[in-house]
Amino acid sequence: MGSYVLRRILIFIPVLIVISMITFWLSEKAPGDRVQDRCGEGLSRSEYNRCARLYGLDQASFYFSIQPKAYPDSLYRFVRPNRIDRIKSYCRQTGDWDAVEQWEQNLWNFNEALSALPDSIDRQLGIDIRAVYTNLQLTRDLKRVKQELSQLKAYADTLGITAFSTKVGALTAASEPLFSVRNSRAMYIPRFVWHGVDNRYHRWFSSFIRLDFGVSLKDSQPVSRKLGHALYWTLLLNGFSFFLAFLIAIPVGVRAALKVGGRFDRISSSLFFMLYSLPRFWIATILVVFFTTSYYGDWMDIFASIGMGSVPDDASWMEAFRIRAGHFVLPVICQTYGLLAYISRQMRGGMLETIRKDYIRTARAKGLPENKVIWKHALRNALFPMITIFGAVLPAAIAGSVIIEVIFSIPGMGLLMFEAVFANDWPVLFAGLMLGALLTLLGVLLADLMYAWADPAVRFAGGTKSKGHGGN
Amino acid sequence: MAEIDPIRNISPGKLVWKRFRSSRSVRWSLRLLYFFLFVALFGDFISNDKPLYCKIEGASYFPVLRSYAVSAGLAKWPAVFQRVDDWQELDYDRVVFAPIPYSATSIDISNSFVSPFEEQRVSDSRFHHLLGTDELGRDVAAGLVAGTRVAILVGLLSMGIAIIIGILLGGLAGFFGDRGLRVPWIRLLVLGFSVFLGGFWAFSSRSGQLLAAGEEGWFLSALLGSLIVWILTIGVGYLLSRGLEFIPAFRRSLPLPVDLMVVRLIEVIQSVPGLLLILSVAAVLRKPNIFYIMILIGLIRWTTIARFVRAELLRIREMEFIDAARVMGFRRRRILFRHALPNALGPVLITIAFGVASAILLEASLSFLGIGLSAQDVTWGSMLNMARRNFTAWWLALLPGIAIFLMVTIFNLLGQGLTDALDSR
Repeated sequence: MGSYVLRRILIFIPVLIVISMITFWLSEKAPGDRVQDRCGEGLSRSEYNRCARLYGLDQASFYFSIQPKAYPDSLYRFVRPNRIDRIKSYCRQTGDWDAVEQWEQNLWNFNEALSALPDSIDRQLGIDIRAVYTNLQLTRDLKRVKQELSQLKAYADTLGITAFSTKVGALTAASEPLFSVRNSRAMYIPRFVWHGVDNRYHRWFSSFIRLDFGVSLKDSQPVSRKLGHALYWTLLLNGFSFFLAFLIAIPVGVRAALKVGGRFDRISSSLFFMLYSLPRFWIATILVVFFTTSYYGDWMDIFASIGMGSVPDDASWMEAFRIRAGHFVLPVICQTYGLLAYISRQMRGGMLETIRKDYIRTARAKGLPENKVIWKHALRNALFPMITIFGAVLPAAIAGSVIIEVIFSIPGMGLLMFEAVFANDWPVLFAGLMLGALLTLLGVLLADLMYAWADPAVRFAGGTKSKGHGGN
Repeated sequence: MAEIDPIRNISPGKLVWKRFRSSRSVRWSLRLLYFFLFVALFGDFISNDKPLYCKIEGASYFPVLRSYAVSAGLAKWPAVFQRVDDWQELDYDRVVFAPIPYSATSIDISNSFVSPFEEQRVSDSRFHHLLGTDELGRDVAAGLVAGTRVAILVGLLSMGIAIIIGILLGGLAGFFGDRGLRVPWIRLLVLGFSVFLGGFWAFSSRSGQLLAAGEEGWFLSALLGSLIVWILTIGVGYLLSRGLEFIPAFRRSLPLPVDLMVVRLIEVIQSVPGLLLILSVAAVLRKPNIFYIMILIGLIRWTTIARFVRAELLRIREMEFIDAARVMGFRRRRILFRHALPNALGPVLITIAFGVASAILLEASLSFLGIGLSAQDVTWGSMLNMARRNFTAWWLALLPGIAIFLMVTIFNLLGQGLTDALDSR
């Protein structure tokens, strides 16, 4: 038993790490500028750099990187996604980092030449020159760079300030190698670069373990607090639904197994099969559309509307419960009915297997009443495998509650993540994804361990019989 | 499998098909499925805002057929049809419209949220919106036809991907286990290196092309190009290693723990709640496209199929006919693909049927949430979502839901029918 638990936990850890890497990789691909997400737009260059350093955004993203030889080995230091894209693009086209670096340096510092321009110059000309500079930063096309540079030179000539013309000349000179160097082979040679533990993934994952998920971009609240709040509602919804589903499905499964092919078996299995095929979000929509308003008839306004209702501050415990429960009826129904078919079918199968066993025959032979044989001896043994079902339906339940929460406006994890998608609230979204995976892993782990603990066959065999988790 | 009829000597496959067809629910499901397939295939001729045939100023045209040629770049619209806003308003000598004279995307703003039985503002009763409209006045019947096409595509594309990956990985894992696949170490080395190098060339070196393609909207074909680069590199690596194996020193073989690797991979994928993963990926993608969602569903849902194939092959590989094939000196590949996998096909078909149902359901829930859809896409899920904006539009709440229910039930029933037909007890 001990070795089984240990082995099970040892598998759990690498799976979690792999999932965290996938999640982090996804979060890296999210559009936008992380520094601006954190500290707002319109930062000056020094403010931007300070913010990047504060949140470790100027670090490499992973322990190592494998990149084309054409790229510089510390690309991440440039932080700004726009700048990194530009450098990568020119490196791809020229295959020569030295040439690109020279250009990039000059382009970056040209900002000073711009701010050194006196205020007395023609206003329109000033705007035009700045527009050229912006275009130079935004374009990825070398031909365009050439055009913009000649445009800039023309403006500098009109302006007639020597210092500025010299700067423009230097910039043009720095661009020359970009147009002459071509080393396309450098893109096809991989290079391994080691970045060490000072990297963003390391920082992200270690704070995740400490349950520090950062702050929401939407309202600057700690993500852990928001998720914790949401988790309460999701667990409440799913806890109720699971309880109800097991409460209904297990007796039905047992009775169906007692007379296979009998009328009860046929009716219950086709009823549950139909329920299973009814899309949850459709039923939920119909319930909301038809049964929460009085549009289709006065009596049809049966259930409380969507949301969790507002409980007045001075309301008694009973009063609060009544309001909340009224809002919870429909979501729990929707979440429960789809589980019934799967659970009752598994129960029926498990029971069928159990009543064929020798010890049941023994129990009957020694004259125990049939009720006692079924509900005491058979059921207890048939219930063991049901524990693993918990692990099988948990992922589906977590995913399924997204839709239920959105339709009924329950402030749970699903709704939180759904809103995070449309608000580009990355910390909430990816912490939610990780938490969903972690919950699933823990649920399956717990189910497996409980199964091992409950079933002597597994306990003594060292757990080789552990069933895989399934379902859909 | 079941005993073979001694007189007529029917093959086991035919026997299963016969038993499968003998169930009434299966027959009805198949009929409905054929109907849905027909609608998906000929949707453009069933619902279209362009006429099927028309005669203007003495000349005959077939605008629907022509629209195919135009979109393929083979033809241009004749002058009469250029800049047509509303095909109903043209001056026809004779005209034959499709049974539903609207496209799923054609907007009829003067008929917003009209019920099927309500008075509608249309020029002719021929243009009555038979099943009502949504907020923008888009025809619900036309939307149902377009949604059928999406649902069938999800079934084909998502499950196609899932089947290929699932059968291949599940088959390898179940057939070879952890010790069964012994490979010369040089081949492991060279293949491993070419997988890495090919991946690098496909995605890192081509990142510029992929990015540009993503901005111009042909990302999928660029991705296909990358995959081809990858596969070609691996192929070259394979040939190279086969050449090197002529040298005796390279021939010592090592066991490759395929089963362990596949089972761990399945565990990782199954631990991430699929809907949440797709939600996150869709948020990261800058240009939503329904095909990305279908591919993602396929990449997530192969695990169920792989687990079934693996379990079946674990059983089959111990059977005598496999030993017989081994004794006869057949190659491993032949035994796996010609003898072992075909025998695992029955149970796998069951998971595929249920898998199609759940893939369609997942796509419908995603488009219901508005995830991964561009503004013009009309699916059953997105139509159902419209019902939440206006509780009085009962036709929007009922009709797309019934379509989803039917489609899902068909595949669930087919899976159930297969289970019964294959059950030899």
